[in-house]
Amino acid sequence: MTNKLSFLAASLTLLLFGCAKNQSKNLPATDPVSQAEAFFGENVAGAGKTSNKANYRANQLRTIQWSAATVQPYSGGDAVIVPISYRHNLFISHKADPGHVYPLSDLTSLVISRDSTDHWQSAVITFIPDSANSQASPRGTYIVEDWQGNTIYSPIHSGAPSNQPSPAAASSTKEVDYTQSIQVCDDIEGYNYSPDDPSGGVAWSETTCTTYEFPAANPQAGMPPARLLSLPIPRYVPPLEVIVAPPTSAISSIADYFKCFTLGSSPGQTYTVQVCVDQPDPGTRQPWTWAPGGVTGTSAASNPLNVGHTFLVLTENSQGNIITRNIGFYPASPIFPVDGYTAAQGILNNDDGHQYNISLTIIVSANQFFGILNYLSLGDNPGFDYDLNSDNCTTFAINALGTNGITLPSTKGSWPTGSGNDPGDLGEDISQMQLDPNMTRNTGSNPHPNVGTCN
Amino acid sequence: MFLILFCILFNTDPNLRLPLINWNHTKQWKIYKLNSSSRVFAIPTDSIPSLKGIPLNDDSIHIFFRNAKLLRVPSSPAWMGCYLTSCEDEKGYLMKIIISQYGGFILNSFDGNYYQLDDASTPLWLDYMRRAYIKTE
Repeated sequence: MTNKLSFLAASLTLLLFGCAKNQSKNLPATDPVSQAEAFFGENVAGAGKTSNKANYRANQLRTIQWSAATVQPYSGGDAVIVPISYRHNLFISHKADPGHVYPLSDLTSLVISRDSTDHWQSAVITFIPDSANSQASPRGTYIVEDWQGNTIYSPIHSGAPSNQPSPAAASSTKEVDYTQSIQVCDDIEGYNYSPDDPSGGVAWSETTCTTYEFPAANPQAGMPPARLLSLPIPRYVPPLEVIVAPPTSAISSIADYFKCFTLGSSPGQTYTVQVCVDQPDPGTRQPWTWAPGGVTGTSAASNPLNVGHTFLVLTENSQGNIITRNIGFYPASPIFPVDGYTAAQGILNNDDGHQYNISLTIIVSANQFFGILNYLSLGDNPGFDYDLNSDNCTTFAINALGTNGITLPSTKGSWPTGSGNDPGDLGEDISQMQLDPNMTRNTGSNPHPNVGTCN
Repeated sequence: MFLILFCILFNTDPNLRLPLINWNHTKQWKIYKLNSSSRVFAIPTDSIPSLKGIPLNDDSIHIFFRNAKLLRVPSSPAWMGCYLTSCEDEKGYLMKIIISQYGGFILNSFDGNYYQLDDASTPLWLDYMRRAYIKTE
């Protein structure tokens, strides 16, 4: 994951300015937080402006935590700092600090300030710590944007080396005596732990460059950028050291998972399907067992129930070029051997880390192989449910082969709350069946990793 | 008074009965080369240190467990494969954590509770654990 996370502020030269400068409309004379909330509702959220589509963060579901707002007086007025909470688990990291990630919600605040002339401004400030950040000496980059995700200031580096712009120095420019042109580019790559993102991805990137013509200092700027450094917005957030590989092998797309298989009929191209069975009680037809050594007094109110598992290992050998994929059918959420709790949406998993105690390997034709792939592809379709009794992992494997002319024994077991195919019976059936010439049986579990990649 | 005593003695709500694990305080996570269900469930916690484990990244676990909730169960969930892991709580007590190979749930043998990760994290969690287990082989 660390390699996937980076943050780059590619170019910046000076401060720029462009805050929401709407003046409040007769805000009630209540506490600053209420006034800030009213200002935000009337002039920012209700302004009807669309979000910057290039800014991923600005387009995420987020909540302003008004109840956690704090008020910070400064020489020019008051600033109300309000945490922003993102609905999904979003994390962000700085390129200069690889391996450390921060929850975006911990880094982002809405700052609403009012100066002595009763001008209000708002900004969304995201502070991204760098590797030298510490509680005693905050260091990092401030990203200052409006609510819609447009850049207000160029990124401000606190504790920056001397060759980078100093917010304090820039803000000390008092006269508007020349116009400057700057380009601000933000390139952020982040990691989204919410694979339900409509784009289907679990990572995001955004690049936005804007060229500004602006005076060196804007007298209507409101809160000077240097003031940001003294506001109590999050600066020291303990970094999370994350080592998570990119989710390349969770079967998010079954088409991608199977795409390396090629349909061919040459003698040098063979296809095999290995039916792997993890019996609950190896060597017996027991359809389920209470796991030994279970805990007592648990929230489960019983020992763990082991029902075993059946999965397939699919292999294509094209003149020595091997492609192997493991696949198993599961419920997407926990199920229970209790009426009303036996079924859930089905999902396909990569089972290359799953053990088995007996397997049957079958050489199949190309047409059979691809027919099996087609059947397996149904497994995570919405509405294709896993049912402990009628459509479990064993049933799925038997049907995947059965619909393509390969008949496996289909003994059904029974249990107090139902009956159906089960790994215990299938394992024993395989153990006892008369093998055809295209079949081999194997007892014991060998490593069965996925093999082979393709473009 | 009698009613209160009765409730204390006989309540079955684990939320009331047991202090829940603060996953952010867990540390020293390890995964072991053992995923035979019968052996994983049978091994006593105090025997785990004799196994060769490889470390898991504590912070990664904290992220995955960020929104983990107690899983209220009508019975034991159906186990279809598992991983054996362990960690220490904030006091340094070793805990045996059994992780399901589907559904994003775990069994904490320390407090006897099932916990479940949020739906969004589950696929990544399963993939993370699968990769971690393969490294033990």
